[in-house]
Amino acid sequence: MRRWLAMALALLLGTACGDARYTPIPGTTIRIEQPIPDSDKEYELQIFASEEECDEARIHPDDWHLCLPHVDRASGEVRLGYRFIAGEMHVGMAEHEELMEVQFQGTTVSDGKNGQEIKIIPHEPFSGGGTLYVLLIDGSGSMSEVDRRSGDSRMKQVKKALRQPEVIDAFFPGGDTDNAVMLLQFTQGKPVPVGGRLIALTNKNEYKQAVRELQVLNGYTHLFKAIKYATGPLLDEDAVKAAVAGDKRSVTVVALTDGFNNISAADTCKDNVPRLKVLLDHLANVRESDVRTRPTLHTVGLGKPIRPGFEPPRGMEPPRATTICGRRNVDTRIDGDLETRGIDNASLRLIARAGGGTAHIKRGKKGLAEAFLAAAAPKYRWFEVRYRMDPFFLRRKFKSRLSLVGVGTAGATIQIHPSAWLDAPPGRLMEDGWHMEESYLRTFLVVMPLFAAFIGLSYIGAALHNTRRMLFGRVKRRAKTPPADAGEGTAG
Amino acid sequence: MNIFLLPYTWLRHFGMALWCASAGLMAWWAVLTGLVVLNLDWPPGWDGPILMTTISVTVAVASILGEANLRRLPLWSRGLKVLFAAGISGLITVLYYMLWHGVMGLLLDGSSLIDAQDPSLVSLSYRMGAFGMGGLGCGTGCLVVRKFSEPVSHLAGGLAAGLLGGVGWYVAGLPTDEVVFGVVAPQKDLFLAGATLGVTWGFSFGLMAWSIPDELYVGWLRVLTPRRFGRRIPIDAPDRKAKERFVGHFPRGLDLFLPVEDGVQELHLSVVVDDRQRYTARGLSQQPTMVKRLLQSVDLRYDPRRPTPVETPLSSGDRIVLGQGEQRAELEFILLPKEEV
Repeated sequence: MRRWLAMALALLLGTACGDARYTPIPGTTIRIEQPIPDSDKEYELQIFASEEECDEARIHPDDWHLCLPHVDRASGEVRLGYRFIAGEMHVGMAEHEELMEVQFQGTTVSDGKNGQEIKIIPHEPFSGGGTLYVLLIDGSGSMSEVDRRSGDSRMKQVKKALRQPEVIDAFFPGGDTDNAVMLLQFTQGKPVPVGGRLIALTNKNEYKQAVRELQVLNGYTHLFKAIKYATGPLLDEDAVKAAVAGDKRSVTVVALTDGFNNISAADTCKDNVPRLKVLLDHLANVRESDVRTRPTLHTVGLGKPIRPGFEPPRGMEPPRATTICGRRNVDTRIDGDLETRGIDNASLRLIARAGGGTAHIKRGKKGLAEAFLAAAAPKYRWFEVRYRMDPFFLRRKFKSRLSLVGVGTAGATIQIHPSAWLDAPPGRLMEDGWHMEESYLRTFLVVMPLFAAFIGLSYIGAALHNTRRMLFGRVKRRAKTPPADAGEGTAG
Repeated sequence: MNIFLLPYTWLRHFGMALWCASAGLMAWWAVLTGLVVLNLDWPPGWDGPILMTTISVTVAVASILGEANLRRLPLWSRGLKVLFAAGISGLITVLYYMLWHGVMGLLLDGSSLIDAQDPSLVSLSYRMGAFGMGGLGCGTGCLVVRKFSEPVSHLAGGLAAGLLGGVGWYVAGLPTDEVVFGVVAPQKDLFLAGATLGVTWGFSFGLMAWSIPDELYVGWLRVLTPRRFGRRIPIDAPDRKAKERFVGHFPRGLDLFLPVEDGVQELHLSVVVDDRQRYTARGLSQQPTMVKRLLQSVDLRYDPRRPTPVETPLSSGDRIVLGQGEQRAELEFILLPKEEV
């Protein structure tokens, strides 16, 4: 009771100076509490909470409406703008829709479930620094096998994919982005640089020349060792250090294979499990290093997956033979048997996840090009996440949580307070199926017609009264006889 | 609000309702503009009190100002009344609102209390009291300014207006596609819900709290037959005391002269108004004297066997026919705004 009395007194005193806890969002009736980024994550995920923060992030004022939080309660849509910060530095990030988990009041929002939908829209390419792409191409004997459909060998398909103009443009986009590529091949032992020398290719011509020199080297596929090398000792090579130039360029490793990790002729699928564990442990250590200098690892599998529909188990539990190979293939030999049936997509998925990247299992030149394009995806300065809920759930204060996993860890929580009593005009449906905030001027479409109707209706009584009197002859004189004037009364 | 636009028909009561509905609409619009465009910074918990108080104050001011306009009060008087109404209804609405929430805090506990105190929760059950208190504050403000006349209609009307506004707000914003009561198809739109709140509240309050009083009108007798067509006399005395007006062809001393050629006797009819502004027609002649209204004719011919003349209450629009056939005069009784006197 005392609290309510205090609130009443505060109200009576007219201390309309707001509450520092809440920030009103222009153009809406919502207030937000200051977002709380997770402090124990690799990146700080900054959810923009005010125009000042959007301005500070150098977002153009025309885009501030996308940068600021927005809730459209008619359609059930919520929009939040955010960016990533490492240390004190703003960092760019590639598209990460699959790696972002959105929670609403502690429940994960799932695409397609109960009308829920999530979309992450990147904004403004990040032009700070560049990327050193280390392409680790399988050179084992199986790469010489010819595809029946295209008539090209696997190696030729890889070369064609790498020479696609859009792939080359992705590696060398020009402008402020200063990328470089290192091309390595692996079979047995340590991967070798294409051309014999470890050099960073910094222009398209050098790159095209190096791709031409890719060839089948023969031998077994020491994939795990090659990846371990590319994400470890290779980074200490002088040429790589020079190419990274301190931390101006981040490192992205793309490992391509057409089969299984295969050390010897007698290897079975289950033999790979302890080797995979060693690699995953190594990658886990790599992920714990400085977020600005550690490599990101993508894997590309060329061929048919041996375990279609494989989904990595949640958490970081050690891999098991049945998980990797499937029960029937645990003791199956790789060389000449499993390798001819498909590729080890399960291991590639686990490796990519541990390396903070994504796995792409593709067939043919076009599919490979897509995989390289995805691996060389540009980075963006900031993003907006949009999600759609049943509008019913947006009718009270709610917490929204964003969590990034994979490419790095980051998270932030924001508490949103929509007004129970008032709402701005509902959003306008755009071509992409999402709603964009409607102008305040739309309120005139409600106020003006209603106001006009009230004014018009206020004349109805007088109009009906006079019409009725006219119809019943009370107004018009019935004959032309002039009235006699006797003095009393008034004419009317 | 203009008395000349409000003829004495049942529709006149909607005049004040429409006026107050406009005020309610404007109040909602003003608060929305403050929040959305001016980005006024107040905590979410103040949305309710501010919206309730704004609508309450605006509707109360509209009601008081509307009455003052109808009565053509001096501008300074209108201004004072408006300020008084705004201050009283604003303060009382805030107090009622806080009182209600204080009581809620005592009555509820656990999750119900959390829900009731969540200023973002769209809920009719937890907001109903707030709407009711807002309406009550609005009615109380007007009641005080009107010197406690018609307390029941002000308080009950105010309470009902607030509650109806809340129901309108809720139905317009229902989060469902279902049709309610087979009539209303909700828009799931909390934007229109706010507009519905203001309009419903204002309209209901204007309709229920204060009706346009008869004292703003004056009864007239007006000639409808060609001879002396349009001649009219007011029935009421300037001091609003009881008065009787006489109609006949006696040339002197009567209030309304009608020619004998029209079948009117020397002293044919009188119309009486009492101190409660009830109008009555009395037949003073044995010649035909009829009061005609929809589906009804009353014969007022004087019966010498009776000690008093025959009389009938008059209402606006009644016709009085004196004489019959070719020799007859016709009058109408009509209530016109007092300003015309």
